Order: sequence, then structure tokens, then C-alpha cells
Amino acid sequence: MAESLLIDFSLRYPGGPLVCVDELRMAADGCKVAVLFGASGSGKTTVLRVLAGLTRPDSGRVTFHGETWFDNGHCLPPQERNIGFVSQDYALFPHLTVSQNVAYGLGRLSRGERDVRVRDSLAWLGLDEFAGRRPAEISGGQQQRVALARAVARRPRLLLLDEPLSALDAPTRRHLRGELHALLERAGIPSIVVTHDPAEALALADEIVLMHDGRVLQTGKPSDVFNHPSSVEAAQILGVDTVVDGIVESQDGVLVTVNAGGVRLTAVCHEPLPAGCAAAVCIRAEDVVLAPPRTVVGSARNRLEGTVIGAVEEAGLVRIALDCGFFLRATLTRQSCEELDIRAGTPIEAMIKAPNVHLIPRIFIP
Amino acid sequence: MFDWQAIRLTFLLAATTAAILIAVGLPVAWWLASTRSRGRGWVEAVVALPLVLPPTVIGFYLLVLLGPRGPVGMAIESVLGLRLVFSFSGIVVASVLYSMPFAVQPFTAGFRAVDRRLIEASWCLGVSRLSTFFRIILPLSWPGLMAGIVLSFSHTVGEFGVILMVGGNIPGATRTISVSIYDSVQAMDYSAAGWTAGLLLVFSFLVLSAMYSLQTRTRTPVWPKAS
Repeated sequence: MAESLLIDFSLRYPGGPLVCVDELRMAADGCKVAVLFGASGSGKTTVLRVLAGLTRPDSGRVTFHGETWFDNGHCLPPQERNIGFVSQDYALFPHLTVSQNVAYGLGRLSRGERDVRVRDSLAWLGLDEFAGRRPAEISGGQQQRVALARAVARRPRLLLLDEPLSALDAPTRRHLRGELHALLERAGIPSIVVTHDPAEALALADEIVLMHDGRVLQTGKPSDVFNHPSSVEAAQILGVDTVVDGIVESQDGVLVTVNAGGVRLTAVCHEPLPAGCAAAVCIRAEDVVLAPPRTVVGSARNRLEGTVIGAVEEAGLVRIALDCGFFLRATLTRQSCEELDIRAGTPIEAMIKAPNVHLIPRIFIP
Repeated sequence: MFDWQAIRLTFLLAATTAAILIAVGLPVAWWLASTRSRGRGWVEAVVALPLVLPPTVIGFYLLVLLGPRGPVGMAIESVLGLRLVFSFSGIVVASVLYSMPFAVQPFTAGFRAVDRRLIEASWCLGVSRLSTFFRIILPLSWPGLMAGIVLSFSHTVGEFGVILMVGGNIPGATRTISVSIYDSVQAMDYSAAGWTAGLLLVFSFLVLSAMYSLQTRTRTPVWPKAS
């Protein structure tokens, strides 16, 4: 895999935060989709705007397939980068029709070629019937596809999408998430997508770049990044539900015994960890199984006795907070909740399989 | 009944003024709408000065500057052989300055109403800055641009004090409608004054109602308050 996109810059907003990307290399070729993931204010949109040439960094270097886009003083204008940029609210030209929007960037083509290109792009995204409408006359989802058609019609070398689904309502968003992935794949243009939605990141990404406070925290395949956050910050951003401070007590092969707030847990870790090493213990809420105390047998290595602190219904599931010697979150279906009679004060046993207890080693304690 | 010479002259003056204000006002307005420079406040204040100063003050300074012994007047007279005070060119210069806020403020509001993201989208589609101006910014800011042109035209039509100070009352050269009305009243010719005044009233009403219906239709604030 060639590292065809190099991003290395720093930018301080006047009186504001610093965005500093250190030698981030990406394989921007084929139909790879990279996702810049992070909370709002983490600097991911800045990275996208620097790539588009809309924001000028203070210093650094950006190169794409050997072509210099930014090198300290010199900044290649967006017009000369041959990129497709889809902004958060799509920025469709309100005074032009859908087909005029798509044709807008095709000024260099002959009229015949342009017409063919517009027709193909609209057909590809199923927008034929809206060709003569104005942006205000079509739905949000359709606007999103027009914006994509307009960007792709020019056959850019790199597609940049800023929160492509965030302007849509939740059902449309869920529906288009899968569609967008297929479209980007079919477009065959390497893409960089900015999002703060973990589901969107997991759905779209071949590669995830995790950003926090203007810096890149971690890069890698989505499953690697989500299941093995490299730091506590990374775990928190990724939405790992329980993060507890723990001390490694012993290691036997891949099984590690860790003391988390006075509770002994067994975790799986493939790296050697010295006893006494501090580690963040991360447990996802959906990996926690609940049962009445001392009644259930099973293979889970970790059985914790505790009490329910509270339960909140959220998107059809119930999120439960438990006190097991430390604060533990679990997610259950409503039916399970009723069967277990979950309410504040209910005594409960929480079970977690060892591979689902993820350790992020921190400072070394001798 | 009507002082046709004055009416013709007034509309020629207003058209010339509006044309010059399009050429001068658009770049100034674009700069005001897009700059983050600290000098913006000063420039905006200078542009808005004619809104608050009495016409006699502006007329007085113009008379001093443009007069045959004033620095600007002397320079222009020696280079172009043109005397600005008490001439048509003189009242054009005065009108341009005096009507400046009526063009620049709506222009600026029109430009500010154009979403920056549309401009950036255009750039990212490979379209140059100049081309973006003509294909995106102008079409989307036209209510503001129209308002600026119409207001500067009609404001010039209704100008009095500055014209009298700089131009005097020379028939066919500087005697505009408003000066003609003043003159008629001084001469106790109320009938002539009444006809011409009525004409100006009807004209101004029509222009303003056209303006406000345009504003309601586009729902873009094209005429901001003087700051």
C-alpha cells in the first residue's frame, strides 16, 4: 500500500485551539474510504479543509501522489487540486437546477461531453427525475446525492466529505449510511469522510483516523481501533462504556488478572504486562451479561456481585448503571430487564467474558 | 408647468451617479463584506458619514477641496482643464460621495447574504474566483445590488443641499429639480413649485414601494440601518 497522502501541518486559530497533525500518512488510492473520527472541536474538519485548500495552515507540508499541495509558504488553490468536496450542508447552488448544479464544475468539457457526464451522474444516483428541480424542491437525502453527483461528475482524484449524513433525520441517515458506502465504493475514488458518529465511522471506514483536541490519537482498521483503543482518551471518544483504573496483578499466558477498584477481573492481553502496571480497563456495555445473584452457571471468567444504581431507556434498549465495586454500565433489552426485575437497588450478578475486558496499559509502577 | 430642463438634467445626473457608484461601490462593498481587516470599521464609518452629516457640511468641504484654489480642484484644473465647482462634473462628484452609503450599504448586505460555503463549493469545483463572482455571488446578491442601484439613483434625484453648495443654480448645468423648486418658491411661483414637487413625490413613492415589495418577496434584508 503506497502512502500517497501525507498530511503534516499545524494551525492555530487566532485566540483559539491548535490543530497539529504529525506526519499522518494515508493510502489514498483505489476506492479506500478513510474516516476522520472525533468529537466536535477535535480538528477533523480543519484537516479536511486543509486538504481542500480552503484553510491555510501556519506551517507544514501536504502532498498528494508526489504533488505538493502545501509547503510552508506555498498553498495550491482549491481550483488546482482536482478534488471533490462535499460540505456538511451540501452547499448546492440555490439558483441553479439539479442538473445545472451537477454541470457547474464541468466548464472545461465540450457541451456534448458535459451533457453525457451530467446524465450519467444523475442516472447513477437515481436523480434523473429531479434534473429540472431547484435544491429547495427536493428532500435532504436527495440533496445529499446531488452534492455527491456534483463532486463525482468532475472525476476528482480525491473525495472529501464533511459529516455527509449529519444534516439528515435519523431514519434517512441510517438508510443512507449503507448506501453511501456502496456509492463511494462504486465511484472508485479514494475518499476521506469526517464524522463524529461511531456507527457512521464503522459503516464507512476502511481506515479510521481518530482525532482529539486537534491531534491524531490513533489510526488503523475500524475493528482494531474500536476494540483496541490505544489510550484512555481514545476509549472515551470511541464510546467504550466503562473505563476503570486498574492495576495488573499477574499474567498467565494471555490471561491477565487486574485489580479494578478492589475487584479482581480477568482480561485477555497479548502483550506482556508487568505486575503493578497501571492499566485502563475498558468494558463495553453490550458485552455485560446480567443474572440474578449466585444462580447462573456459565463460561464467563468474570462474575461480579453488585446492585443496580439506575436504568434509562434509550433507543429501544435499556442502559443500566451498576455498582460492582466500580461503576459498570450494561445494555439490556427491555424484556430482559422485566424478567430480571431491574430497578434501583436490585442485587445482581454481572458476567463479562475475559476477552471482552480490554486493557490499555498506562504508567508503569515499579 | 414642469421645468423640463431641470428634470432632464436631474435624471442624467442620477444615472451618471448610479453608474459610477456601481463601478466604485461594488469593489468597496465586496471588500467590506469579505475582509477581516481592522480598517473595515473606519471605511464603513467614512462611507456612512453622508447619512449623518448635514449636506451643507459635505457641500462646504467639497467646495473648499474642489474649488479653483483647493488642492483637488487645482490639480484637476491643471491636468484636465476642468473646473469642478459650479459645473455638471462637480455635482456628479458631489453626488457620488453623497449617495455612497445608499449604494455601498445595500451592496454589502447583498454580498454578506451569500453563504460563504457556496463560494467555497464553487472553488472546489475548479471554478476561478472571478468566474465564481459572476456565476454565484452576483446572481445570489442581486436583491441587494438592485436596492443599491435604485436607492442611489433616487437619492440623487432628491438631492438639494450639496448640489446648491457645490453647483449653485445654473440652468442646464447644475439646476436640478430640487433646486428648481427652491427657486420657484423664492420667486413666489407656487404653481410651478407644486407641479415639480408633486412629480418628485410620486417618483419617490413609486421607487420605494417597488423596493419594499422586492424586499418582501426575497426576504433578504437589503436595506440595513445606518450604523
